Amino acid sequence: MALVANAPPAAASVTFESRTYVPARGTDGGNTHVLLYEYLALDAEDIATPGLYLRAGGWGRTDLADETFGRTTNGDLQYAFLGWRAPRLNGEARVGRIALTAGVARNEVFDGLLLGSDLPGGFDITAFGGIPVETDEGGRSSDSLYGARLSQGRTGLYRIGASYLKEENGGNPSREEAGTDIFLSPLPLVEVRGSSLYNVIDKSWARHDYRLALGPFFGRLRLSATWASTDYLSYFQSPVHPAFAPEIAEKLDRIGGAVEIGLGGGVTFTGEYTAYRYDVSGDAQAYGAGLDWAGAGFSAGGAYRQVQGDAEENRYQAIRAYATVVYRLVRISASAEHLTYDEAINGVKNATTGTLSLGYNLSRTLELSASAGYGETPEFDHEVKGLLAVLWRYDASMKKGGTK
Amino acid sequence: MTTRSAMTAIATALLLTAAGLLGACAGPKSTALVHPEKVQGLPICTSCHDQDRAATDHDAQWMRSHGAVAVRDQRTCEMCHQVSSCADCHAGKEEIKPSDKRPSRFDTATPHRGDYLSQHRIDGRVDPASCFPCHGRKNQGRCRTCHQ
Repeated sequence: MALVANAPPAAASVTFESRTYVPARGTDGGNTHVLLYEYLALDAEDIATPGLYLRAGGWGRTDLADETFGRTTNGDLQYAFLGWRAPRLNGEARVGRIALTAGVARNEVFDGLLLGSDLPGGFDITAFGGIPVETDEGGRSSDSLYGARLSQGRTGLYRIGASYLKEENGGNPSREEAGTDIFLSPLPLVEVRGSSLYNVIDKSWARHDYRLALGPFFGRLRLSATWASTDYLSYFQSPVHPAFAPEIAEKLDRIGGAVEIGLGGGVTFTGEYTAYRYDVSGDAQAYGAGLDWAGAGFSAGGAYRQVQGDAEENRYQAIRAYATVVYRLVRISASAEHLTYDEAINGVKNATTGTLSLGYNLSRTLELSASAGYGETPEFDHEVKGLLAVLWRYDASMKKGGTK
Repeated sequence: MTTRSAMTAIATALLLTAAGLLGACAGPKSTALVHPEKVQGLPICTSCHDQDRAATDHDAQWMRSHGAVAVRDQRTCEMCHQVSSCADCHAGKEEIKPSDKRPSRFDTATPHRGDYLSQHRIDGRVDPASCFPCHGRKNQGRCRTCHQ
């Protein structure tokens, strides 16, 4: 199943990865699905000339038994671009199918051009434009996506960014956003990071999302506080996913805090609390805690989380435990989860699932793994799942110390 | 903002970028394309770097907080990660859950473990904005089997 790659002679550094997944799933009275996925990814750095690189990744799927999601085959070219990094000022150009996150552009995938560079005075800029990939269901004629992010800052102290994005579908504006993002570290161990998103079409703020992080104090204590405010009507503009068409003019303020404490001996405690305040719906809250233990050749842990919504249908408790042991070339992992829903779903209040995984490193570049899972959930009385995975990597960069 | 003014702004941005690229002969050296040391597991960057790298420490909150770091410059991520690492979760047509792609990494806070088919109804009602970045504008044929 693994492919064989030969590094181009001119390439100074090539990483080629093949991941083959064969998931299988069966339920009471349902079809048995067996699928074959092949993921390929290529990174070639400094090809032909220093700074020139090629990156590409994608996957294909075929059904070995029964049809899945309405089609027996599927696939996606996730990204494929030729890039060049200038030796100075982080000047960069990319052309092809580009996946981009920069300011209000979040995980945008488009066929086009990206340019970026540092500028004098602590400024840097990224500009991009092309044809969006994710909204191609109605055809790509007259579709466009373009935008830019400009920021100014000083390394380690602050950076403030302003960004803009516009997407047109069939020649009509489907999304127009502007935004700001900030990083601020006025004191050691104190950091504020966040962003605000403005819906230009609605002329209203769609979302604010900020996080204050403190630590690590004494190398073992981290604290964080978060605030996110979302206006549903403005934020969920032009959704492709039908579940995100807002029916009410809801506004949500999410306020949370988290603590992480290293207890020594590889043991870490985490705790979190989140309050949800709505304009229309009743308030909700969530809290939880976890304990993780990691050492040479093993890791183990457990966590509890409770969500208390305004009604029984929005409440559940979740418990999870896991353990992994690595002995020489063999890895054994196990995980179990149990959920209790306050209101029964399909007449069932509990869900229990478990997974056992066995991995074997056949060589430094080839890993085989097999997983088996069983579940009793509100959706399925008995669900059996299996997954075979073959991970193979040719990584020339490892020879010079880097990793990908 | 009208389309014309937006185009003007973009054209200005492209000119500034081109000027920056031209100035790339004189400015400070670019950061490395590839992290010079091999990094494994969930790295705590401040164990080697100064405190100003604390934002990229892959701590217990990393799965939730990494997006705020990527907003500034995803090229920082690409020093250690292939683009496929981002695409595994954030690309448009993914059919395999992130946790299923990493069957051995139960120690990471990968979303959608266990009975998420039932649980997602509640998480989606409580905070749909948390689902939107990955699922809002993607061609999720799988979602449409229920969400018509």
